[in-house]
Amino acid sequence: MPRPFDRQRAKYIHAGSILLRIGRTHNYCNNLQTNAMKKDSARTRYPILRMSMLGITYSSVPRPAMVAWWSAAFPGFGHFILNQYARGVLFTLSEMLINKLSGLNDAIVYTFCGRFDDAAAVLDANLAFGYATIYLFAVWDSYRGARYQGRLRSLSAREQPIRRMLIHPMEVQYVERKKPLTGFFYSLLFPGLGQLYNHRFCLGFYIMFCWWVHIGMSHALAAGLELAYGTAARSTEMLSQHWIMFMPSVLGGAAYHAYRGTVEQNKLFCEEQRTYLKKTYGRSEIVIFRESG
Amino acid sequence: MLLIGCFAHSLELEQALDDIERSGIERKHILAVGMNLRVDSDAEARHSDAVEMGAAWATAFAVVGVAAGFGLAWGPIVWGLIGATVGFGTGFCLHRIWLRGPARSGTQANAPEVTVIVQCPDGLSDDIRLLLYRRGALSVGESGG
Repeated sequence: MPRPFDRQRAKYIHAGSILLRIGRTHNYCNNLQTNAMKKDSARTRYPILRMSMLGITYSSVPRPAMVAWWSAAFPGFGHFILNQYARGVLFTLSEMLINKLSGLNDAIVYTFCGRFDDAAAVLDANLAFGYATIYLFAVWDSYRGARYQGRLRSLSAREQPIRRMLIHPMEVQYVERKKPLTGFFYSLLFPGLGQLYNHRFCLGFYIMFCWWVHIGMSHALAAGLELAYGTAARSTEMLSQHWIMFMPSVLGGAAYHAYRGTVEQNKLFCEEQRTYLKKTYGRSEIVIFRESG
Repeated sequence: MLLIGCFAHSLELEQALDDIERSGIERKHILAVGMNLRVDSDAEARHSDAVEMGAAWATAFAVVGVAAGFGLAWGPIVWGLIGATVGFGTGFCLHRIWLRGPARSGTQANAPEVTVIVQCPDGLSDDIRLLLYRRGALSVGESGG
């Protein structure tokens, strides 16, 4: 039984077309190469990066305390930083839902205004206990996740092939070097834009949608105009204390996430390019010092 | 003749190398070396920087500002903005002064991260030098002969 390569070659010789033969053999070699690459990446125990239609997903290396803080500010944002998007989205949705039902944000406002009796009255005791448990779990889980991902990343083989670009029927995705502060400021202007800047378009539109809901429910922009052109007391009356309490966390969390994502993607860009340069231009025959005599 | 160019990691660098090869220089006469800015280059991406600390503190202060603002004269928006500003300043300065950390942990702007050395015939050196500058070289030097 001849190997497929031999069989094909025999066929080409029979056909007698040199052009065809060169073309097919070239194709065959290309296939061989991509298969080897696929096997190689499957063999990698600790891959660094996976590129998909949704963007770049990678094991990230932020400071664990920082991740824990963003989970505390808004459960789910810590998991976004760790690239665990599915559970991050579920955490944020359940946070918004349970917080609304239990009246927690209103209780926080009353507490900081010194109206402790009102705070106790507005809080739903049935939901508050479960909310606190899930909240603390989100903080702890993202903290240990950050520590573990850091260890996994340090075990990832140096100079492993990192995919640079993906062409999908619906998207073009690539690793790009960008300015971290640009994403930071775009997410401050409108949360979600910094995520779009980082090519995480689904997360970007999800956060933008949340922000529209927050703006609509809190009347924050209309109250801002009233503050500028009317009176402060009327502006405060217009605001929904429940919904505006979410907004600083979403703003800060989205800005941080965009900034951190750009920093880490830049790092991946540089690592990939470094590996490529070493492989391609590392075996130079340049002579700098000539031996005399 | 040797031409030496300093670059930042960028797509332009790859375009420059591509152009050099197209202009007739063989690959074996090109050397590209990645330079490390610090002894432990991995540590860069791991640590948070002053901007991140500022954002974290700004959020914490803004939440308190908004909540307390409902009971204060200027209202939650003004107190939220005051909280964010004071918080960002606190976190940023804390990180810069107390922890002596960098303002930005991303790589420094315009730092020479890659050195490209090209061995080319004297006749081509002007073209290659212009090409390096056009493709974003931070600096170019040459050594005759």
